Amino acid sequence: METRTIVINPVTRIEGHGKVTIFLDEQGPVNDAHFQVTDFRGFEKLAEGRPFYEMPAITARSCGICPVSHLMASAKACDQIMAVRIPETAVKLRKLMNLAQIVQSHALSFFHLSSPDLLLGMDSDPAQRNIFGLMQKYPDLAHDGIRLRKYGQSIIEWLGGKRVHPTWVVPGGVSAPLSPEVRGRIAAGWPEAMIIAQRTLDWFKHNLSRYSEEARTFGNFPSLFMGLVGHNTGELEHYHGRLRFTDANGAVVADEVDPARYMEYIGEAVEPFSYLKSPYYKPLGYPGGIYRVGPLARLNIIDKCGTPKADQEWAEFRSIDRRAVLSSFYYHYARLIEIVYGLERILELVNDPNILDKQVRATAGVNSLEGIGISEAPRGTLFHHYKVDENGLIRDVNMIIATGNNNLALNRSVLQVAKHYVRSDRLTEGMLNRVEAVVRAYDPCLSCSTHAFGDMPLHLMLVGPDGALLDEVRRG
Amino acid sequence: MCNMPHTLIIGYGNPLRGDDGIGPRAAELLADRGGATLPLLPDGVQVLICHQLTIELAPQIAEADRLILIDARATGEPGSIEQCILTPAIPVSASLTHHVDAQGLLAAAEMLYGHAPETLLFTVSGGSFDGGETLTPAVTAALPELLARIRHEASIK
Repeated sequence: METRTIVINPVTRIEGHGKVTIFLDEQGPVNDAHFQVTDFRGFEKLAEGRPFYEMPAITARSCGICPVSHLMASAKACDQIMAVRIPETAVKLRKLMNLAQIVQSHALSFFHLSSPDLLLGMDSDPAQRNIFGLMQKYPDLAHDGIRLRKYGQSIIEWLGGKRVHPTWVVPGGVSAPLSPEVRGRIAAGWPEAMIIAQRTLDWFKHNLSRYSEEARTFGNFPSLFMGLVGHNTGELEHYHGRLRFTDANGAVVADEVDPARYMEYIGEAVEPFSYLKSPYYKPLGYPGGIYRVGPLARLNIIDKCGTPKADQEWAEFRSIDRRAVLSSFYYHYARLIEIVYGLERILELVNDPNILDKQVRATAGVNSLEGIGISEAPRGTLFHHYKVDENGLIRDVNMIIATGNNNLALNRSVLQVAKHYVRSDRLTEGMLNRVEAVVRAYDPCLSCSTHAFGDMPLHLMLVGPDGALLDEVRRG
Repeated sequence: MCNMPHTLIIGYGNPLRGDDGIGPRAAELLADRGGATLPLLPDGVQVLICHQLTIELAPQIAEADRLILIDARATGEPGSIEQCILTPAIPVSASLTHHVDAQGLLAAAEMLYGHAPETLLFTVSGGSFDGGETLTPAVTAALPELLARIRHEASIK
């Protein structure tokens, strides 16, 4: 049988760029698949020698999509170097911005990147299967996506001065208190945002049965799950807390792990075909210690969300499987629940009696030569680990990026989808799109996961048993 | 409810990538955010600065009568200024993620909000897009003419 190489280039509707290679065996079926990230940037090295207090601004620029996430983790690492306990209002304000980031990022992922597949169909014409096709056929949904994302982005801009790379989150707290005017604006926009979020979640649940095959085949395998949970509460948590690992049966395998001890639990392997490192759970070794992070993981590891509407939705979500929800297709579902949760917490925060307090920043010099900051980015757990000299200049940086945590799972998911949908004797747009779609389910941010940027697209290659590159599909 | 502008000016680009920052820089000067003492723009003109055009700008754009965009260009003699009229057009590429091209944004405004304004795009050829916050001399030298032409267009009602 003649073998061919399929290359999808670029994988569309993801943040950043990567490559998928599918290897066929001699009989033709898929034998293996690699998800490869081909850009390199190297923030960990270029930060060496810089003053630690520059790190939030520097690391925020590793990505224009989720800079707020890097601001959070970096500022927390700097707080430790200063050995300060930041004012309580500053914690709440940082959480406010972080939650707005969750809302706008998840809205982008669902409405702009994934809903074209879900609404227009995985097999539909690729020229139409994008946000413009969505606008033409489902203008109300497109309106909703724009409004919801704009609300999250506006909160970031009102707090931080700009939507991309806001400068307000600083070592020791935040640079300015919340004004009554901004609080009013956030509160005024909230009702519409919540209506949109609930409407979208209701639509998704109502239509879930349409995606049974995708739910069965998109990254549906046992793995561990990891994330932050509230200290001693087990609640959904995005800013602070302790690390928890659970397994595919829902059992807790590690709990109340102080983030400072993350290196005891997480190792990083390097594969020759990708600049994206492969973190794994150390006690189970590599690659057996595969784990997933992000919305699906967070909703698997928690004991509760902690807000009324989200808890109700979470209970319904967990009825999919009382042990653990395994299919990566359900990242979409989990994202929508997290939007509801984020909005509920945002309202709590703006109504907090102390939210307008003026004491929002602690100041100090270098009081520790090491700082570790961990937070939950939209895509998963983010680690910033800095070592400094006595003058506060960076000596060493280690960053484990949210998307990077999912690298092993991404690879396994691509292989699973490829085995199920790719046939060497015929190639269809739908097959190739499903390989892309499983990557999209993770909502990867490849720009910051390699600490990378660039203009290289993701492409899918099919390689014959002799290793020869046989064919590739390029898009865009 | 606030009054929407008669003319909306958007300067966009990455101010950390050399001449890619010409759009934001020009918009800063037009809005007098750089501390310069330029004459004020006429009433009914609003200036925005952003890294890139995103679909979330569609509602605001749809409410403007005229739109002026300012961007860098990777081709041409560094410092040269081009001006063209843009019309709405859905992009051919399906790889849209977090940003959209100008014609796609106009198409989104028209499809979703029923109106795409009359649009002028000013581009300045960049000499360097390397990391850094400084414009090259050729692009810096183009600023006075660029601003004058934009101010002329913004004054036309």
